[in-house]
Amino acid sequence: MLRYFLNRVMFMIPLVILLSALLFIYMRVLPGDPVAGILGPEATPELTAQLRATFGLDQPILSQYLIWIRDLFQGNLGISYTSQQEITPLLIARIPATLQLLLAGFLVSLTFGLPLGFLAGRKRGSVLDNVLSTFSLIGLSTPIFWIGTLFVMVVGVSWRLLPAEGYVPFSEDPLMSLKLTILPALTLGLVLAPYLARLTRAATIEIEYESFMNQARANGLKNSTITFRYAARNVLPQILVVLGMQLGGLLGGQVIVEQLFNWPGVGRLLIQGALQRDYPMVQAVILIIAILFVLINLIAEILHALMDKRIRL
Amino acid sequence: MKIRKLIKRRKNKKLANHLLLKNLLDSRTAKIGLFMVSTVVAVFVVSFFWTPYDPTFMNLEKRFQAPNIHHLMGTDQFGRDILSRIMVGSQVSLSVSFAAVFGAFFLGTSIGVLTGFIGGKIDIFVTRIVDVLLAIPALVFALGIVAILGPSAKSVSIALIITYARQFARITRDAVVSIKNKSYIEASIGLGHKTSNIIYKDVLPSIFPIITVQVTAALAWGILDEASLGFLGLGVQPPDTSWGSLLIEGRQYAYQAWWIAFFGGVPVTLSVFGINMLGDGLRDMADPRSSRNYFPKKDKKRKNKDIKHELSDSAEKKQMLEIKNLSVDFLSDAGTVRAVSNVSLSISQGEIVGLVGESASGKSTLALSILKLLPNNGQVVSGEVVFQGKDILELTQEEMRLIRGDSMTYVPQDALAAMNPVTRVEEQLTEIIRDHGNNSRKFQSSRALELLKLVKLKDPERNLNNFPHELSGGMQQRVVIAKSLALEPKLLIADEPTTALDVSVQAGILELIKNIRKNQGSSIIFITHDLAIVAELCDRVAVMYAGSIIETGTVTEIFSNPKHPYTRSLIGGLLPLNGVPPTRLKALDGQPPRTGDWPSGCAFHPRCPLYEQLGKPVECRTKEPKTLMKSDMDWVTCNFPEIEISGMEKS
Repeated sequence: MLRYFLNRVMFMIPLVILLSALLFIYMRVLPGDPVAGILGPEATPELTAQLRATFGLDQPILSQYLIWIRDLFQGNLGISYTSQQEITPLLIARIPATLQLLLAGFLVSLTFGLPLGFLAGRKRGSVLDNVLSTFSLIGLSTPIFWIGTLFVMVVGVSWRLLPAEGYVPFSEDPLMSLKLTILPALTLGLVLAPYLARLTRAATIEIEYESFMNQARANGLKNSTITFRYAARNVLPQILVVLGMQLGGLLGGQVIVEQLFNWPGVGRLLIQGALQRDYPMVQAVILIIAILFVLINLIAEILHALMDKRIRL
Repeated sequence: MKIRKLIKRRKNKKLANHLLLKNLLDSRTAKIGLFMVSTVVAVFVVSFFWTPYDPTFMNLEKRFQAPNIHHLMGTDQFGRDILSRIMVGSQVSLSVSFAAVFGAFFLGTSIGVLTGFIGGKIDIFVTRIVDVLLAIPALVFALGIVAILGPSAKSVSIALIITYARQFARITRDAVVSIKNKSYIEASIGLGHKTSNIIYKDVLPSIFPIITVQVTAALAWGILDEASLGFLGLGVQPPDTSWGSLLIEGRQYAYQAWWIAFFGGVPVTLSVFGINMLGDGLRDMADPRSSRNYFPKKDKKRKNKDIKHELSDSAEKKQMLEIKNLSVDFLSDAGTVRAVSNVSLSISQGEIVGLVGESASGKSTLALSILKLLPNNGQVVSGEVVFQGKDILELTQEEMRLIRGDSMTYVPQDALAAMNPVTRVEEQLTEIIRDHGNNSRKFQSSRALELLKLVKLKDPERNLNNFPHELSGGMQQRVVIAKSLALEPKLLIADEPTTALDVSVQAGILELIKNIRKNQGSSIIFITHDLAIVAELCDRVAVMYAGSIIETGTVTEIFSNPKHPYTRSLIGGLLPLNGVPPTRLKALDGQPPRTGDWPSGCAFHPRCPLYEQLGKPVECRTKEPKTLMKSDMDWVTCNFPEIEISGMEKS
C-alpha cells in the first residue's frame, strides 16, 4: 500500500518538472519586453535596467531557468510585475477560499450527479431517464456565468433568501461563510453535475452487460440487492477514475465563479494577472492549478485502488 | 485472396461511415439538434444584412427599457436594442468558435496522425508533452495564452485553437496507433503503399467517426469557452459585442435590468444545446448501447401454436420441465431474428439432459428463456415453458424471481465473471438465502459454510472470506455451483460449466454435478459441446442445430443409433462441435449458419451428406423436415432418418 502510494507520488515529480519547464518557455516566448510594458511611456534606461534586475531578466536564459527551478523547490514562485510583491504569500492567502468553494462545488456535483445518473442508468429508456438525460444535456449546454447571474438575480435579489456575493473566512463567521458559499457552490456544482450524471449513467449501463449482473438475477436476488450491492458498488470505482479527468472542468469553472461572485480566490488572481499582463502571476497560478489537478487525480486513483479489490497494492 | 478480403473490409468501413450520416438524419435527437443549430446559423446569416436596430446606436432616453413591443428583449444601459446586439454578437461568437475548432482540428489531427504513424521516440516525446499540457484545465490554459496575446477576438481564437489541439492530438494519436496495428493497414504497408497514401486512404477514414464526435463536442466547448473568456473581459472589447461580453453587462446590471442577463445567456445555451443533441445523436450511432431509444418496442404477444410434438399424458406428469413449441425472437435494427425455433423438450425428475450444439445454435438462448432472463430485445413469440406444472412464462417477474435461485438455478460458463467482484464469498452465498426469505443471520452463515463443504473446497472457513479473484479457476466454479445449490434446487441449468477449466479440474466438477443429482435428486440441463462429457454424465441428449432441436434420445441410443445426419456426423466425428476440425476424418464442409440466418427447409441441408448423396431432394430445401417419434419422449426431425450415409461406419 505504502509502496504503491510512494510510487504514484514519485511519478508526479518528473511531471511537475516538465510542467515547470514548459511554463518557463511560455514566459520566455512573450513578444516584447514585459518591463517596457509595465513602465509605459515614462520608462528611462536606468529604471528599465533596475526593474530587469528585480525580475532577474538581466541574467542569461539558462541561469534564469535554473533560478526558476531553484526558487520553485524553495516554494518561491517569483515576483508579481504589477504589485512587485512576492507571489507565494499572495497565493497562499487565497488558497483557503478557493478550496472551500471547490470542495463545496464538488459536493454539490456529487449529490446531484451520482444518484441521478445512476437512477437514469438503472431505468434506462424510461420517462425518468428521458427527463434526467434532457436536463443533464441542458446543464451541459448552459454557461455557468449565466446560471450564476440568474441565481444572483432570483435567489439573492428577488427572493432575498441568501446573500448574493462576497466572502467571509470560515474561521471568522462560520454561519455567514456557509451562507455565502451556497450560491457559488450551486453554480460551480452545475459545471460537473451533468457530466457526472452522464458518466454515471453510461457506467451503470455498461455494468448491466456484465455477466455477474445476469447471474445475480439468475440467483433470484432482490432488485434492491442488485441495485446497491451489485450495480452501485461496481459503478463507483469506475466513476472515480473518470471523475479525476473531469475535474479540470471544475477548476476552470472555479475561475469563472470566483469572478462572478467576487470570491477572493486563486482564480481571480489569474484573471487579474491575465488582464494586467502580470506574467509571473499567471505562470504561478497555472502551475498551482495544474499541480492541484494532478494531485486530485492521484487521490482518485488511490481511492479507486482501495475500492477495487482486484488491484493489488 | 487474403488481400482482396482486406480491401473489401476497407470498403465496408467507408460504407459504414456513409450509413452513419444517413442514420443520423433518422434519429430524433439529432433532428432536434439540427433544427436548433440551423436556427442559430440562420440568425447568424441574417445578422449580416439586417437587425431590428443599429446595435451600436445609443439612445439614452430609452435606457433600461424592459422588453416591449418595440424592443422584444429590452434595451441596455445606453438604450441599445438587446436583440440586435445578440444577433450581431453571434458573428463574433460563432466565427471565433468555428475558427477555433477547425484550426484545432487541423493542428491537432496533424500532430496526432504524424506522431502516431511515425511512432518511436518522437511519438513518446510529443505525447508526453501533450499529456503534461493536458494537466492544465482548458479554460485556464486558454486564459494563459490570452494573457500573452492581449484581450481580443483574435487571441481568443488562437488560444482556443492551441487549447483544443491538445485533445485532438491525443485522441487521434491513440486511434492511429491502435488502427496501425490492425491487419489491413499492415497489409497496405506490406504491399509497399506510400505512407501518405496509407494515411489518406486507410487511417483517416478509420478515425473519421471518433473525430466527428470530437469535432461536435469541441464546437460546443468553443461557444461556451469563447463566451466564458468574453465574460471575463478577455474577448472582444467594447463597443464590439459577443455573447460572452454581453453577459458582463448582464451581471453588472443584474439588480436593475434582468432582461440583459436573461436574454444574454439564451443564444449560447441554445446553440450549445443544439450541438450537444447533434453530438448525442452521432454518438448513439457509433455506440447504440448508451442510447435512450435502444430498445425496440415489444408489441408482439406470444401465441400458442398447435402443438406438434404431442406427448402422452403419462409421460407429461413426471416431468420436471416441459418446453412446448418454444420460439424466441431477437429484435434488432436489422429486423427480427429467430434465435430459437419451435423447440420442445422435456426433462424428468432426477434426469440429466445434455443439450449439445455448435455455438450460435440457440442453446444459451434456450437456457435464458427457461430462466425468463432473455435480454430486453429478446422475446418469446410462441410456446410454453412448464416448470413443476406451472407455465413460467405466465408468471410475474417477482414470482419468477422467487423461483430463480431457489428451485431453478443457473451455473454459467465463466465463474469469475459471474461473481460480484467486490464482495466476499460468504456474502455471495448468504445474500441468496436472505433474498429468498430466510433472515436468520446464523442460518445464513452456517449454510454458507456447509455449502462450501458440500462442493468440496479444501479450506472452506478461509474461502468464505476470500474475494472471487483470489480463488483458482476450479475453486471459483465450485463456489458458483455452491451458490446455485444454496436452496436445494429442483432444476439446475449448467451452461458449459467446465469449458474454461483444465481437464483435471473438469473431472472434479463433473463428479460434483453427478453427486448433486444423486444426493438431491435434482434434474440437470447440461449445455456443452463436448460429446465425451455427455457420454459420461448424461441420461438423455438433445441435439440443437440452427435454433431447433433436431433429435433427442437416451445417451445409449444417440451414441449407438443416431438418426439425424447431423447427429450421425457428430458421433461419427465428421463434424466438430467445438470448432476444432477433427484430424482423423475429413470434416464436413461449411460453417454453421449464423443466428436467424437459417437456410430454408431443413436448416442443415447445405452441409448434409445425405442431401448430396440423395441427389439434392427438393423437400429438404423447401419444406420443414418431418418429425418422427422414436418413443414416447424422443424424436428426430429429418426427411430421411433411416437412410445410411455412405462411407460412414456405424460406430
